[in-house]
Amino acid sequence: MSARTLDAAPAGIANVSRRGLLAGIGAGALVLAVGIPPAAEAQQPKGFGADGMPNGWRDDPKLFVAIAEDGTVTVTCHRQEMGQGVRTSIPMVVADELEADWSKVRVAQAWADEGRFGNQDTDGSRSLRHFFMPMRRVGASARAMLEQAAANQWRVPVAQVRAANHVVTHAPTGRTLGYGALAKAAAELPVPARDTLRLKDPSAFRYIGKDATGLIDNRDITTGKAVYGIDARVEGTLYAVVARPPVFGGKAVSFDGSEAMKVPGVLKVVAIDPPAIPSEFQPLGGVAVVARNTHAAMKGRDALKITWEDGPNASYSSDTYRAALEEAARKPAKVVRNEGDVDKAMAGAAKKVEAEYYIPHLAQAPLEPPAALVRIVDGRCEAWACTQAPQVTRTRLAQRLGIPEDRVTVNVTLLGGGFGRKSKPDFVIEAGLCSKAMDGAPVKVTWTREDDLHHGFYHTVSVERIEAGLDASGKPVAWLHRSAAPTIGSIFAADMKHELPFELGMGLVNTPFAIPNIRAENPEAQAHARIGWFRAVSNIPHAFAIQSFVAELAHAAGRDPKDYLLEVIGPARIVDPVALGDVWNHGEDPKRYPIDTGRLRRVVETAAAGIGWGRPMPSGRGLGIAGHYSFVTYVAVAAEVEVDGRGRLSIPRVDIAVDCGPQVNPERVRSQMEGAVVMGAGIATSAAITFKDGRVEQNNYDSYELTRIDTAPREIRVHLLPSNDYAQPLGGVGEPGLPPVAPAIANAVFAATGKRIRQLPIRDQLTA
Amino acid sequence: MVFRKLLAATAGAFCALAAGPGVASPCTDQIGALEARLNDTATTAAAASSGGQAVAAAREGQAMEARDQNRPVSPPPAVPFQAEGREAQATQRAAEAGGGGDRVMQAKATLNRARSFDAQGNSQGCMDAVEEAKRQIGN
Repeated sequence: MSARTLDAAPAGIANVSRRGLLAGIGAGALVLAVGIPPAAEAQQPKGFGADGMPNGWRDDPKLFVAIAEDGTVTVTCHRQEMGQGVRTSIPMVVADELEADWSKVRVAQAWADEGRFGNQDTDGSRSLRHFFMPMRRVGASARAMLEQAAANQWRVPVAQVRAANHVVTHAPTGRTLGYGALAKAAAELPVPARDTLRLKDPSAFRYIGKDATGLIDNRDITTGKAVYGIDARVEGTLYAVVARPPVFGGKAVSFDGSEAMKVPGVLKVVAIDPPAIPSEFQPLGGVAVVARNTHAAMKGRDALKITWEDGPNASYSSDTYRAALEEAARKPAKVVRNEGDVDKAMAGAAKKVEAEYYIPHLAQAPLEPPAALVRIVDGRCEAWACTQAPQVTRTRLAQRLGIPEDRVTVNVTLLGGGFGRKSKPDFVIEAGLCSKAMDGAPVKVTWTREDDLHHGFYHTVSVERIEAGLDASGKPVAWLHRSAAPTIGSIFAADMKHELPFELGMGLVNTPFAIPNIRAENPEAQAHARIGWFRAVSNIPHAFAIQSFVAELAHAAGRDPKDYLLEVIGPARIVDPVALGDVWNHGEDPKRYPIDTGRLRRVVETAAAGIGWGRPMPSGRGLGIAGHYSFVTYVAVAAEVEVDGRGRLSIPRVDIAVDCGPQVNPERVRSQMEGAVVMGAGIATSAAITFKDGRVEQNNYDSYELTRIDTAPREIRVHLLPSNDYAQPLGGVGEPGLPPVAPAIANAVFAATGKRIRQLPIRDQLTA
Repeated sequence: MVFRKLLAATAGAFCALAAGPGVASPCTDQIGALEARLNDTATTAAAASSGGQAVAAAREGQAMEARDQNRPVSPPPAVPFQAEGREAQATQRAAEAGGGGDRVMQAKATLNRARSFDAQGNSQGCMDAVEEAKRQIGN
């Protein structure tokens, strides 16, 4: 990442301000999008999927496509790039339908304006699931307008002209016109009605479903030209860091900034109020130090004398909290799914098996910590931030600074990782408050790695208790699962002590097992830390427990774990998630997105075949498998591990199979699966956030250990289950690869050593 | 709508089978009627919650809290993901869908308990469970 002046950033490289975009397009270009087109009529959030999201979707080409006189096509991407490749995949969809030559396509990053672009909040593994069709229509509309413009110019029926590869051709005469030559006339035409659009037949796709398109930002990223939040700088930028309460819910009762002010370069010490409760996305409060450079700001922060009041979470300790969760998980609790009669079946079972699993807090820990730059000039606020949620950032900035929202602009930089952390705009608001305190001067707030680990929105901590009754043949006839975990809901509703339906719908209530008696319960769990979403969210603990337990049952029954898993999944069938008690279903229509156990079976079988399931293993090596359905996608992981005589774990190979429905950008699907395996290996083996006296005990990557090169799987094979029917619904890709990784590794450890892993991370459990 | 009717019909058929041939009880009928309503509310909850983690968490959290405290959702919404009035309306819709669906989950679980009682011929247990499910969903 390089320091780079945003005012000098050329349009369309990595990110661009609204002013920059318009200026870039206007520089001698004739454009399809002339000026700022009127905002499309807002969609009422009346339905499922994208229809149910705030501000819905837009498919007006005048909002997303600009064509310059030289034929350069600029596609505006309204989703945020954090490594998943969305700035390539979304424009690729538009370009394909537009029949654009990819070498002439540029990408501009949308600023925060959901009224204009539709929903921009990039979470939930849904950018393509929700926007594939609207973006296809954007491209098809623009193509139709270019064809119509050519037909008008040639005075021929539009049916006789065809756009292909950036050129419109009149078939009977062979006359041609380039897109640049047609752009101005096309821009003056009305946007075709949706029901008149001619979408391409998938057999004619040039980019969608192909592996031919590299990442649009690759060159800029690898040459240091790309601008991340931490790189943002404008003329006169000041720099700030913030001392925040060490305990969530605490506050500074007094502070002395006089020593901080003596540090050369320090300009001001600024108090930030603690949040109201519920705290949602507000800054934690504390004391900011604004300086001429980040080093001075950090030195100034070190010199602050602050008296903290730790508040109600001062005694929060991971050890005692675990015991409390375990106690809660051992008692009957709120029933959230019930089929058959578990108690009766359990009483009559030939064998009973029970286990408890512990999954600690995790931190998203993106390589780029939160960072944002804000300035306020003439009553207008402008921000540059690595945010997943531009619109809510804009709204919250406006409210906290007392500036009308239409005078607040949020420009989105690239994100050096997000994983859910950067959905929360607290860090941008901190920069806004600092700028306000400096009379509107541009101030960049940088979070250090320590700040990020100490003051995050943590993945929940969880105890998962499962009991099963087996019949004489070893088949499960009863299944009781209690999931005890503090909820994300606690940051939006102060007294929330139960998991929310969407958390329970992440692999607890919607597990499609063919077991006649199933009950799921959710005990109370009071949150003592700021809980937020993390890539794959509650699927992580649920999948770890369930997939580990299935393997435990297989062992108890003397069966092969893969065969047993398939038996528990049962025969291929379509399951209505509502019938299971899932009232979330990822916000999707249960009719369009039921659970297909045949697809779940196929990924399990594919991963198993890929890794050579059943082959003889040398001593100290083992294979493990897990399959999980999340974000309306099916993923299975088969892992091979080796544990040496000193208990050191290595992962020679992982096979991961994914069925996400039709694939838009297979290269990106593979990449996301590989990334999930690497991240999942860290969750399995090394990563944990722990609290003592309300304080996070980890400081940096030395103690919060992500996967390192020597612990990463040496070989990852991704198996994409083919699906070329683009009429079928798309599944998510960014998150669903993660949940089955840890249980597959843990199951492989058992196969290799006989040691059952019931607590993450594995760390030194194999050396004990 | 067709799907919902299908679900209701399927649920009804299942109930009849579970209760055994020729033993459909008044409780069986009540289970079928309530099940159809719960399924409809569940799909409403799914739409009202949304597929985004941020939006789902905020809406469901407020909706559950309001329902647990037996009060309407307090405007303004926790987070104005869109125009405040519209987001407040969306959150209220989530609340009306069984407290963000939470009550639907519980009521469906209870209804399945009723179904077990019904299959065992325990009509009083069945009716009690149906009544409990009704209370959970709010009538």
